[in-house]
Amino acid sequence: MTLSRRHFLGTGAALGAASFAMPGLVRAQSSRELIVVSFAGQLQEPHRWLADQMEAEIPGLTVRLVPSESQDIVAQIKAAQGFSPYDVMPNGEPPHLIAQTEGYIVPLDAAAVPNAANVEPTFMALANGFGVPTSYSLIGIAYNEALVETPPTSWEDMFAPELRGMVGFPRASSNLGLGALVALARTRGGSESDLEPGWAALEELQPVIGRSPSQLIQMLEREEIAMAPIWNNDAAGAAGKGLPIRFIMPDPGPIVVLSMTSQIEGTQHPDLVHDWMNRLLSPEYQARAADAPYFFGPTVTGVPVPDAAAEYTPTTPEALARLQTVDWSVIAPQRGEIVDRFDRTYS
Amino acid sequence: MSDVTLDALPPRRFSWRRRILEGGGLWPAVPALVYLAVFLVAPIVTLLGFGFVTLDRGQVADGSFTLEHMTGVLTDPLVWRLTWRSFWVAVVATTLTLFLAYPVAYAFSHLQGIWRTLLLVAIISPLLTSALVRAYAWIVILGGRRGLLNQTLLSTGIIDQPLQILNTSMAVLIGMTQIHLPFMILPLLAVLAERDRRFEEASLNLGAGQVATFFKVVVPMSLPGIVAGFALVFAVSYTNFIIPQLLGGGNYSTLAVQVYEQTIVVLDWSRGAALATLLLGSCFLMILLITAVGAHLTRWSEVPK
Repeated sequence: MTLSRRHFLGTGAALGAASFAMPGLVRAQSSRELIVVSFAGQLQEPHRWLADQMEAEIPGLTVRLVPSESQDIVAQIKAAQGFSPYDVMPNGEPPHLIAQTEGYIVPLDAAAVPNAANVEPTFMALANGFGVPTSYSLIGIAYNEALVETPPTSWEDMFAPELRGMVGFPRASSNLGLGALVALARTRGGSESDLEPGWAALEELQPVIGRSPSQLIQMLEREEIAMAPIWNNDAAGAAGKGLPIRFIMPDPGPIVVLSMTSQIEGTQHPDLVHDWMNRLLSPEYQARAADAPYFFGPTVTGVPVPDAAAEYTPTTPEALARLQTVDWSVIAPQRGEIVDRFDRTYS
Repeated sequence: MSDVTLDALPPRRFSWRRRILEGGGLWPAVPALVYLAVFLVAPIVTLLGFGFVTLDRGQVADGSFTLEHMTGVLTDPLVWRLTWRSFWVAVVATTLTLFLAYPVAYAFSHLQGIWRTLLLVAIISPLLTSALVRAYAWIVILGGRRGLLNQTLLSTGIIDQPLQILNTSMAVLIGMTQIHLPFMILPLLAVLAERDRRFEEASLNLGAGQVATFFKVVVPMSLPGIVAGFALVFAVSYTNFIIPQLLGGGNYSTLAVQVYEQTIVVLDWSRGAALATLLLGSCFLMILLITAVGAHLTRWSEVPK
């Protein structure tokens, strides 16, 4: 091999460039950023607590929490054509299914998330091998104590004649709206595959439509409505602020929706994502998130539900047995049609 | 003779450079035009283009040009109902802003010194907060039994049942009129404050009353401001998304709200893009119409050629 002058200079330049670049590479290795999709407001606090712990243990790590609706995140990932600006996200069951079929999240590497073995097996099965179930929330009924004399006990109580025009209902585009529609359909003899009784019940109910869960809470607070299907966590947050808003788990049972945390396709830090998911399933995190004022239902076996959560999370095996699961695999393919029909009825 | 000789000469090479340096013609606008082309025209063309192709997981499928999305949108009764709603809300809100803005602009033109400055500050100050904040303020005022309005009316005994204003078209109209008021006042202000008062003096001298002078002299002179304000407020009202979303409630939709729903919630970008094309196209037509009517009404002000 003969070395020409040009070759020599080129190599020298490359070496020089490399030596300049190396400290940068080392820096990049030691300072990393994990971008986590999170909840808004107070509900973000358990994530923040976990993020602070992780940052303290891993030098150079920054965990950035981005509060957002999963539908907005999915739209952004779609717009980025696979180059997601986020690393890991929690999804309710319906968007979790959509993200699987659209390929925005990747299957779980169970060996990398050892705590996944401690998750309640029935919950784990619902993840379909993508991500881990990290909490559950309930869709029940929230009401304003100042306006409702007899607290409701069942879904059917929303139809009381004295409440006419004072019942709120979420748009069907949200998980809350889809879940509440299924609850209504079941109350009237329907099911996930036969939502017609639910639509008929909605027509009978003549509800005031709220664009989002937070809008429904605000409407309850301003006494525009007296009652509405709502998430337990949102109702707890409002009650915690001293508002006269109470939550009940209506008969035959509240709808339970799991939150699945998944690794987003194309993340640069799969190891950090696995660590984050593993920590979400630690008994410490689960107990903290299950406690006041967040009341995220624990998904890990053996994590006790604190007494303070009794109004918002089932504490007894009997109450747990009343939880109504929804077969989202039947709902997800109909979602577009449901949203469209809802738009046509309420616009 | 010399003209002919000059025309026959080949164009000199340094003329372009010289024109750039002297800042003549379109050249000073080039940076702005490039900026607009890259950050406005290109994204809009891309967006509108999505309405004519099939998208699969955010990628344009090969050879998928189709008019299906556009015809789907144009033959949908819901879309026409919402277009009509967007249109009439915009027309009513724009007309209301005109009637509310005109006296303010007229008063401004008759004020002097500190009062004039104070009024100008009062007109501009709402623009210092975002439309979102102002829409939320209307929620606090109009909302439910605990809203400021209902609480006042209930406590004074004027009504015994709370008025249902929030989450209706009325709330959207109220919000839109107030939030867009400065956009009507400012063009009117410019025209009315600079008008030639001698025409009014002449009218009064010739025996016309104050009212006749106002309607036959002042109003026609302010027509360019009325047209500019009308076009501006119509465009921002017709395409507004935040105000109907916040004040109209969950049962209320407009064309702009549908674009959002289809793009972000349903993730049907093609339909969203087709709806956006309809929104943009119809808004553009209306602006053309408004300016054409304006040009017709102000043709007396032009010197005949």
